[in-house]
Amino acid sequence: MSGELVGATPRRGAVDWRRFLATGSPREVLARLVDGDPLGVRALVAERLNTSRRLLDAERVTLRTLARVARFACRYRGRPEFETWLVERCDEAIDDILDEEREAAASSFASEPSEAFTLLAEPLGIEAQVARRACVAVNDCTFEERDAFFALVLEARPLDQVAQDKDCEPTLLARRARRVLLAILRPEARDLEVLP
Amino acid sequence: MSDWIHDPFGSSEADPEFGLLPKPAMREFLSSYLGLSMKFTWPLSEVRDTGLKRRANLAQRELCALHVQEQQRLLTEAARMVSHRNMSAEQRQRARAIWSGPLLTLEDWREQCREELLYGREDRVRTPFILRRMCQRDFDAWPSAGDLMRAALNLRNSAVLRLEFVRAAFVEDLEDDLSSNLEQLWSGDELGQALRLSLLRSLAVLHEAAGEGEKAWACWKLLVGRAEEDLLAHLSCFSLSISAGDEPGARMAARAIGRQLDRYGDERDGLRRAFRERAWIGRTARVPVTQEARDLRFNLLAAGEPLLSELCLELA
Repeated sequence: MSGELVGATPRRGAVDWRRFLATGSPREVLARLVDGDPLGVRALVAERLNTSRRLLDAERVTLRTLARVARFACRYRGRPEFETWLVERCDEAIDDILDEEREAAASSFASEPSEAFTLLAEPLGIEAQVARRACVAVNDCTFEERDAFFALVLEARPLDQVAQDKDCEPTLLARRARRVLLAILRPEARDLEVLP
Repeated sequence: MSDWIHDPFGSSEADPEFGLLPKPAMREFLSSYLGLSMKFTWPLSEVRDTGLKRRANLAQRELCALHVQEQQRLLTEAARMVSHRNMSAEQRQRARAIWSGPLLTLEDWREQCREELLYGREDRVRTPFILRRMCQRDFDAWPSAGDLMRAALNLRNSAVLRLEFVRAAFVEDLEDDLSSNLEQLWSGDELGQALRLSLLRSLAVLHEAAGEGEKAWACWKLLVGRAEEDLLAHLSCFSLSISAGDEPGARMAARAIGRQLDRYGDERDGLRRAFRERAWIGRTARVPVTQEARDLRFNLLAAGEPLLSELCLELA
């Protein structure tokens, strides 16, 4: 899979996981977790998506994380620490959605893009499916490229400042961000490479 | 105002803020206050679609998708285990060359399968018949790896699984046109970078096994271009450049390997793994050894350069 997640997640307040995970079928556990987000998964997902520089529908990743927690709660015996275990489920959910989005963007019979893509696409005057493909193109770039793209384009930080923070040549950073832009504009370019 | 109803318990000391409530919240409040089961008092079909209900439905959909994914994983793992069961020595080498990573033990597989069957039933998700049968039957009576992969693909067609299917077919020596299947996957958009690299590697192994040294070499070179630090790809380039009698190519690959060895430093496990995997691939290869290749190997050994000599002895 595409597991490429970086950075440590800071500790949050202790959660009484037994209260939510200890009994019931996955469906029942999930029903408890969805109501009010008692495990704080929403914030964790936002943080992991930002750390790994991914463009995904955070709500969908949150729901998949909750589903993973509910399904595999039976295997959790208190080790590793609950926070660490939760981060692992979150990272797996990110990988799941990355794969599914990639396949959905490539398929002409894909399900409707989620609301997040519609919200993203509307102000840009493009279709939701096009927005979805653009996000897949960004996610398929290397971490360094995505990091430069996030800093320079999405966060609109000054090039020199970013270069100083990341201890990197400004031209190299700009080139990386540009590669992401090209991937968005010409996602088909990658496939021009012919196999031997 | 039709979505809102007056709370008859508005003056309740327990919760004085409950004056006006949206209907679903009101229902929840009433059911807990009166100790009634929501199921009997408020049939689900009558509950209006609220944010929470919609979210719960979407979450359940994700859970269903996860069950299917888990069933597919179990079938794919089973295919790998079956591949290792009756295979010839050559097939075993192929399996090692194609699939890195440990196999599940039969005991672990059965435990995970039973867990999935139980929770699938509890969550009212359809579980494939083949899994139920496999859980009850002896390992020797399991279907072939190809059939298991087909069953996994029937659950949900995905490029990742199609790649696994081609690999299973390669290990079992099936007649299908495997490289064209891989090429078809390559030309699609469904695989991410990591899987595309994995596909390139599979194709390279496949070409080597078919005796098509040049094609395999080209695949490994493509892999090196995309993942510079892939030691296995560099080792393969060295090995194949020797087979092709290409001295500059062999020296270039050896230089790249030297750089990678520096990078690995004391990390012996990673190094050993790459050499071991290359050895497995080499054993499946049917690339003919020409006189040119023998001469080049002899010359490089005679040159007395330590790294080149070592690589020639290990790989060529």
